[in-house]
Amino acid sequence: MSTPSSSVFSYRVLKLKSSDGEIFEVKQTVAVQSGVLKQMMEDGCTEGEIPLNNVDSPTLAKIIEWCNKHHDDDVEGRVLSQEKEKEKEKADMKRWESEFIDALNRDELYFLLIGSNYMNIKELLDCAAQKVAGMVKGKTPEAIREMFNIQSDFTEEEEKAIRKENQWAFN
Amino acid sequence: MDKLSELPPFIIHHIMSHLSAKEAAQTSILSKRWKAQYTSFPVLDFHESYTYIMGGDEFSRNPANFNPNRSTKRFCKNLRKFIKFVDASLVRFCELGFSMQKFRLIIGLLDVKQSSTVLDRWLGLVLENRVKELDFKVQTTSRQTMYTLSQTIYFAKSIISLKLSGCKLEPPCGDIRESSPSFPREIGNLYVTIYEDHFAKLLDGLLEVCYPRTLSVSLHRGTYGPFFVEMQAVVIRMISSVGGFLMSHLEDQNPLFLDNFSVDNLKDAPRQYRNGIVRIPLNWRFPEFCAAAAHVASHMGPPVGHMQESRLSSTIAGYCRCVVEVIAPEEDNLIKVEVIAPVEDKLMEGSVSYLLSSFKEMSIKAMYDPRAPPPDWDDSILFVYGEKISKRMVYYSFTNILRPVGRSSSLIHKNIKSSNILLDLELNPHLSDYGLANFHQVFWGSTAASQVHYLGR
Repeated sequence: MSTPSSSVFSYRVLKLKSSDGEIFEVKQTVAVQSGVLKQMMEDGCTEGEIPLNNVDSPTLAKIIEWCNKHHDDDVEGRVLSQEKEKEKEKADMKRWESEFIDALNRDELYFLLIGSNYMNIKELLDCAAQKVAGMVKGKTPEAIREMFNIQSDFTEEEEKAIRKENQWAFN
Repeated sequence: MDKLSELPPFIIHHIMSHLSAKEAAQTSILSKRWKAQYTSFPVLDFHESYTYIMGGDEFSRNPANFNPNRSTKRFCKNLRKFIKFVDASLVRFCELGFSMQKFRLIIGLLDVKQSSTVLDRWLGLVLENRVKELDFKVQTTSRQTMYTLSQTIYFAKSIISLKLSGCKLEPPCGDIRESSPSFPREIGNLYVTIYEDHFAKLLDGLLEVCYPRTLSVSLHRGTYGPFFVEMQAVVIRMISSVGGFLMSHLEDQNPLFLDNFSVDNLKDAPRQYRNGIVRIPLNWRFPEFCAAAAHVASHMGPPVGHMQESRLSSTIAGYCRCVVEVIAPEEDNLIKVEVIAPVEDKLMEGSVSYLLSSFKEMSIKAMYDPRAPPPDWDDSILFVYGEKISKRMVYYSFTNILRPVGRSSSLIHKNIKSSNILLDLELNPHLSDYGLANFHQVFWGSTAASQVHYLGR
């Protein structure tokens, strides 16, 4: 692990503490992707451990993996690369993202959604939400209920009324 | 129960936003919890429901060809049903008091006057709920009876994206303008679909109160000719207003101005017009902004532009070469402008005058870089240099000064300004005070280059 001396090179490190007490170290330049951490950095209150009470350590590890992948060391210094290269890079990133998301099970996905929402990491939240939307897409209400194990708490009449109200959607 | 259906409302809404309107509506039947989530879903999209309820009606496909006598009855019945549905959904959402993310509506009207109160009311409700994205598409049978958008739109504090189609908007009336409307000046996206006879009005009204970041205009089949003439005028006004805004925000890290200007539905236009306005997907920065402005105005073929670092060079259909370069961006935004054009080209008059007119406000110092390679064109070459060149002046220099000279020569005036323009008895303008200006042969002799060079600094 890097020592505090690295702060000389503006690679300051934040210490994030997950809900189960594990400490993760993240470079400041990586951590800015989180809206919450960015705000804290701006306010200058990142000394010591930052407790993230809504995020457990497996989820935090996943989130940091995502952020590390999505962060560009020298965004500023890099000259605009050729269109082609940029496109390829984008495609690679897309592939990595979908692999990353597909590898998660339901529970992990759930915690990732909660965690990314809590830490305000928009891209990750978007990506995960899209994954869930993909699971729902094209399925009948019955199939969705089965998938998410939802018990309908409507009476038959109530269900009928909703179907009538939104008639256009149920055809 | 699965954890995923237990997510907090915000995340459920986020997931819903990735679904189609129909799929989102279907989730309301899953359980009471999901129904509540759907009711508070801040995206109200009545695009799909319209198409469904109207049953793919002849009217919604092509309002112009709609035969009122044949299917009016069925249409009116369905329309009532649709209005009721929108009304109910809208009121239900508004009762919750949440802010609205998006409101998207498509509606076809037979009697605009009668229905406009309904639309006005909806617009009022939507704005009250701090809508961020507004997409309004109104179809009518005739263009004479378009729906006039209520002026309350100018009080939309929260709008970041506005998409209007098939409706009119009067420019803000005096009171609104003076009270400096709460309409955000930096609106994110402005999509406007317009019938050609109305677009100028609509755009003018909007541009007076906002600086769009994205402006996208859709054409409708019809009179393309007059459209383009006016289009040019509007774009010029728009860009110069954006340019003025840009100037006052140059110190900002991230100044807001037009990023993207595009025109849709061009493929139906006759060829000579199709080449006219081109898509400019450039991510405009300051220099590109100028070059792209030239593209728009020039009405020539698609820009063959490429960007390398801070340099943008583009060739417009082999006619005009326009290089706009930031020479010392950190100093005082010195810009090099170089316009090479066949003099007797009407279109180029517009382009060059326009290009320079956009500089007027920016007071850009134009200079020629002697290191640049000589151009390939053996046509007339024109350089117009000056700190404050107005569109009209350049136009005069084109029409009155250069034409007699003929195509084989070119002119460097170097000091065009209003005091150098004289009018004759018939009020024809003439350029005077040539001073150091030279007629010169069209190759890049060292004299020409060095003479011009000193002007810049």
